[in-house]
Amino acid sequence: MFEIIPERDQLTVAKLTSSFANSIDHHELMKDMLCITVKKESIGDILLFLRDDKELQFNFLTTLCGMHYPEKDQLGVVYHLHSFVNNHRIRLKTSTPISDPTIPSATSIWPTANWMERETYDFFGIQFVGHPNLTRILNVDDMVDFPLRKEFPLEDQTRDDKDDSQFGR
Amino acid sequence: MAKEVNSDYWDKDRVKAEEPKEYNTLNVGPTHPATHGVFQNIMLMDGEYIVSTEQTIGYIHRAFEKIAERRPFYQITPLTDRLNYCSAPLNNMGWHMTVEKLLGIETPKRVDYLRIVIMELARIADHIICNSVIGVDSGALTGFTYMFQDREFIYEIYEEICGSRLTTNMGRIGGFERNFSPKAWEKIKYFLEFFPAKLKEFETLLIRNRIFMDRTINVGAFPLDRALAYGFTGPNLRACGLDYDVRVMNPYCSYEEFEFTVPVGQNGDTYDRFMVRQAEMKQSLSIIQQAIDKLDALEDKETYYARDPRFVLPPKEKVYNNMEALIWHFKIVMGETDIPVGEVYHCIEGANGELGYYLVSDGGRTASRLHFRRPGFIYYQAYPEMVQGTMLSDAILTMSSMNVIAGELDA
Amino acid sequence: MVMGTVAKKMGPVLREVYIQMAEPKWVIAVGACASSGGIFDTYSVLQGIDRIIPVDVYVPGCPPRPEQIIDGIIKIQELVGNESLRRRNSQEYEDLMKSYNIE
Repeated sequence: MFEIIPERDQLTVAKLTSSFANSIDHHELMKDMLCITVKKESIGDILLFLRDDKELQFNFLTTLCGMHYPEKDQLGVVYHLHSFVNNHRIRLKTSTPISDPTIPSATSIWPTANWMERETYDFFGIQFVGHPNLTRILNVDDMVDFPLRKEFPLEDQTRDDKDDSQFGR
Repeated sequence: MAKEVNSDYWDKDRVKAEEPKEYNTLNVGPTHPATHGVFQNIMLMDGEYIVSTEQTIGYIHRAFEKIAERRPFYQITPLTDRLNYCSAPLNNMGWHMTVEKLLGIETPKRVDYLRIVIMELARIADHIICNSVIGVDSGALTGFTYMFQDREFIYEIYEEICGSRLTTNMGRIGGFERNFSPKAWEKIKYFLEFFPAKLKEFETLLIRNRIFMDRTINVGAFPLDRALAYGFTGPNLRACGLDYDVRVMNPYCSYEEFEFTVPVGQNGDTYDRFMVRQAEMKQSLSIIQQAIDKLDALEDKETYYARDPRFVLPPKEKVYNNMEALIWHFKIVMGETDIPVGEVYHCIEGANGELGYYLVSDGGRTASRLHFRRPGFIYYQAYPEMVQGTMLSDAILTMSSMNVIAGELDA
Repeated sequence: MVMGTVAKKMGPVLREVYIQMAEPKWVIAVGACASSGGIFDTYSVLQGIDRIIPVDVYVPGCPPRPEQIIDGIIKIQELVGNESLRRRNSQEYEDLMKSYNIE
């Protein structure tokens, strides 16, 4: 399992708060790794800083996924970063209101974010500013809705052979 | 009388200037025997050389992440089977470990060792497919037919343990559903005896074969820094030269007690990927042998699940006879237990790389959000860069050596 | 033989392949997902390929055992053996193709 390395966590928090004091909303040590919530305008600069800093060296973007918070009417993005040299992982979170779902893209920092952001756009509708080719990747190209938002139904709506009275839906 | 030919007719520059280059569009479409799964590459070809590729995936998109928001944790295991369906037990075990991390369940040592035996068998099964298919795509079909006999034997081992061959749904959160039968152990031990010789036979067919070497050395070579930037993990990254293996960096499931080496290549070309997978199969055999020795050395030969009644389903004999077991079974299945609120990310060394599960729970019976970090999806992005300027036959070999499985691409 | 899950994105591709097949042709739907959508009752999965092409034999299972698939092929062989030579030109066959909008 991941070991929590307190010195590296504190170093990361200290460096981030010294360089980006107003953008860090919140940081918390969760069960498995440090989790930092930042404002969306500075996420591009923060990711670049984390990658290039000589002591932190987060050279690997493990994954990027979207979230929907219906109670706050917000869409979010969660980044997991990994530093091979120090064997340290952190989680970065950012969110944006549903009415204006734009977030700076990480493709210029890590090319691996290309398809991950397309998938997040496909599922949630988050527009990544600066992405070279933001089109749908997994769903049908002419789909209008964003399926992984909580209000979208899971089941195929064109079936007429299901008898709901038998299943207590 | 011979016709007079202008002396400058064969002047190459003149020929070039008069015939403008035309690119062909070739659709290596979703239904194609060389693409192992349904995904499409629309290639712009200059004769036999590829100028650029455009990829389309999503032809088998089944919305796992959306389904997972509706199912309780133990019902998501069959979904994880179908991610990288060549090594289904690996995905199942990874999912169980993620949920155990969220719920805070400690599995006993015996369960860990049993899991390791299964996970390494699944890794061998996946590498058998990938390597024999590299052989098939370069023309050597015999290796494929011989290796698949051994994969059938692995299927028989799975059948002894969980009843099903391909999509295994093996194990439960906290352990397994039943102890491995003596027949299963017999089969596993027999597999460890006969498989090394078969592997050697397959190797001698290909690895010093002049034709195979010419077709795979320096084909699809990828430099290490680009591979890291593209998020490569697993055998593809190890073939480029970096020894990143999740079992060593972030050990899970008692892997730190096992001794194994991590094979590493040099150039990141197809030959290196083939050789890294071959070497990994041998390491897996050694790990299975060590696990069997450790299991024999443990005094306890009966536990196969963690004793945590709040979240681990009790075995059926107890449920039918014991009142408490019945109550816990009811509570777990009906969703009356208190699932902790929180989020957890767990990753395992899947057959293709770092397979990660990001699970967010809001205390309800189902997950609030589940995201799969699928290695196939992530490194397939690098394919256009890998094949630009190469020939079509080399591009097909590169694709098969990367081991892209459609179920993992689309989820 | 159509195996595996067919998503709605794949539907038109499958139809094209079916239209390109030469007569006489038979279709086996192998697996629960091809027959009826299987365990994936979601917005992106085609709930059975018989919504877009006519199917002759369904082989259930997830995944079907090898013996089941062979059984399906034997059933196709029985169909092939017992089919009348005039079936492909009959009105009934043309109506079937029309109902799927295949000309």
